[in-house]
Amino acid sequence: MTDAEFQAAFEQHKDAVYRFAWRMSGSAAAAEDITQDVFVGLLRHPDRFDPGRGTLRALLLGIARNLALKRWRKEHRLEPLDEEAMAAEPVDLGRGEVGDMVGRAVGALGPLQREVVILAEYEGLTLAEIARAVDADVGTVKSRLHRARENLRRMLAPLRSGQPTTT
Amino acid sequence: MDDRELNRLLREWKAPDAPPGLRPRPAQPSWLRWLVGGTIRVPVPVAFAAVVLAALWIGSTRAEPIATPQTSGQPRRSGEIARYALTGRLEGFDAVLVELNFQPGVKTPEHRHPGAILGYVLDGQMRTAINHEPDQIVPAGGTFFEPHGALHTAFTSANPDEPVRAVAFLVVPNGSRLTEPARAQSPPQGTPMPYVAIHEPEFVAASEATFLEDDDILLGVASGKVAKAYPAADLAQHGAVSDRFPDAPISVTWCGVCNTGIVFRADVKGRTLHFQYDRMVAANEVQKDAETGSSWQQATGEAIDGPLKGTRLTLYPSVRTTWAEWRKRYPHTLVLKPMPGYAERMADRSRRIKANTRVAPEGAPNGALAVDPRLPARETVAGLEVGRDSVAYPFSALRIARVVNDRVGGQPIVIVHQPSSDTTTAFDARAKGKALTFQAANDDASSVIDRETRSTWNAYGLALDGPLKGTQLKQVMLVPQFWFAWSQFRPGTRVFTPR
Repeated sequence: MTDAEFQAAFEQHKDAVYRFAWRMSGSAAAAEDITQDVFVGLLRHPDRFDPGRGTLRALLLGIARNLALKRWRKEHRLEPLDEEAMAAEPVDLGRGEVGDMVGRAVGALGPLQREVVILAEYEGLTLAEIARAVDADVGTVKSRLHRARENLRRMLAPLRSGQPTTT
Repeated sequence: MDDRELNRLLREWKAPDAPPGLRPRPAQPSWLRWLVGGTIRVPVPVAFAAVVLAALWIGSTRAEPIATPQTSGQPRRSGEIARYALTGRLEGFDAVLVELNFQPGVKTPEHRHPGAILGYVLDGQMRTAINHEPDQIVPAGGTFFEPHGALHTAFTSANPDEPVRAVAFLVVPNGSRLTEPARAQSPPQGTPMPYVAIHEPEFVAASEATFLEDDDILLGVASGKVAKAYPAADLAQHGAVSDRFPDAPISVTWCGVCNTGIVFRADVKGRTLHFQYDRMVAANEVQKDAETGSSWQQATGEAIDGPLKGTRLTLYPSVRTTWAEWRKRYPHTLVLKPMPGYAERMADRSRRIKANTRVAPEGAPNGALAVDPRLPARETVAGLEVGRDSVAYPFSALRIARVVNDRVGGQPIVIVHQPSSDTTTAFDARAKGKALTFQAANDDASSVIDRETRSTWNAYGLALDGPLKGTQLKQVMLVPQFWFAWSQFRPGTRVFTPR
């Protein structure tokens, strides 16, 4: 990969990677770190990108996902990353703009559900692309996405028009 | 909720694009940047040893200090070899490598450093001591370490005929000096102290908080394993303190005219805001954030002008209580450290805050929007808002009722008031899908019982005994403040009166 190709890839995909990392971590500083690390990874190992196996964007989001998960594991050493124990806890949506409350609800999902929601709903990846990014089969991704959406439905129920919110 | 509505809601959550300054790190970053760049990627001793070795190597090949292509924009201070601004979690700090040379017989006055210091002796022998502990002699090739805040009581060459040379590595706030005199100069009595927000708060352990009396009022914030106390008398000197908890940056605010202490999440749309007093509106502080220049009404948390106009800050869980009550609950709490020279003035201020909370001073202050005659203007009330419903619980009534079972915004709510410390807490009164009603189990309501299951709870919503043992009720935030401040922004508010 030449410098110019790298610069073009950076300009084209940095926002998607940053947005994904920001949504996963809830922190601008972490998102910056992850974004930088993703592109440093690309610079060091451009050979990992094989156009036959998917788009560059999906590959970069996959790297960002691994970095975000690594951070999560570091910060939550004692919490199991267990598939089944992941009916999300009730969450206090607080108050403010609807968008912020939705963000808090997505943030309350376990990381395995959160990442599929973000990749599917916000980054528009296909189930096959998500499966590759999160290193799972399509069936697993489908069921995680289903559970995540059920959790969100429950958490966001107070936002249906006319429902009061708790401060 | 159907798929369409869920998708519509999900679309409301916008994420920011990458900041314009973001650049991929250079392909071959300099060794020092790689070592200290934001995240510590290698164990500190290894990084330190590498830095020292590099310094030795470069030192042996050139006489000038190492040039630093990317510093924090602050000039390097005397003796500094390199200073780098850190990013990521350490944003706001500089990594500094400094060279120390002491001629024999030259003593350094007692001093402190604004960060921990890790040093390596290059030549000679260093005599060093902290906090008046016995001197340590560190030979060439040895290391010394001082924790942040330690008083450096001896620092000189141990050998009367030979100088000593060392390098030291520190992480300090951006641009700050590396040493501070042992005793900060107190401004003389009567000099007005600056009314400025604190953006880099320092804390002391509970045992060192000798400037607090048991009944002093404070705002307490606890999250995860961290508990911090922000004394009202200290907040009243600053208006706002920016701080960071594991889950969010926060702003701890105080308006002395309204007797209002409120803790907000300081992140809005992915940005962390830092607040500073700007002006008074409706006898309540308006604070401006440094990032967007928007002005925020403290009592409501709403931006009243600027780019974020109309946005409301989210309340962060906190409790207004006394030092004795908070320390009992969190013996290992940290306490906001008063700025130099202020600790001795806090007692006076604290007395005024306590007196105003006990007995309402006469009349409303100048500038109040409206005076609602239902209560004295400066009676302290605990304000609670659920949806569009708001209720004021006067402290005078709560001291008698102690436990109030109420419905606010259609939800069952229990309010618990401990008269000995005027600590008011409120909770969603539902547990395991069942609405509960509570009564005090002792004089101070530090213990309450629900009538439905006869479980015993503490005043912080945790069931300690009975069928619901271990259940934690969901906290609902209420904000104690003067009545005029609450009622002027919520003219339709209900006032609680005991039956």
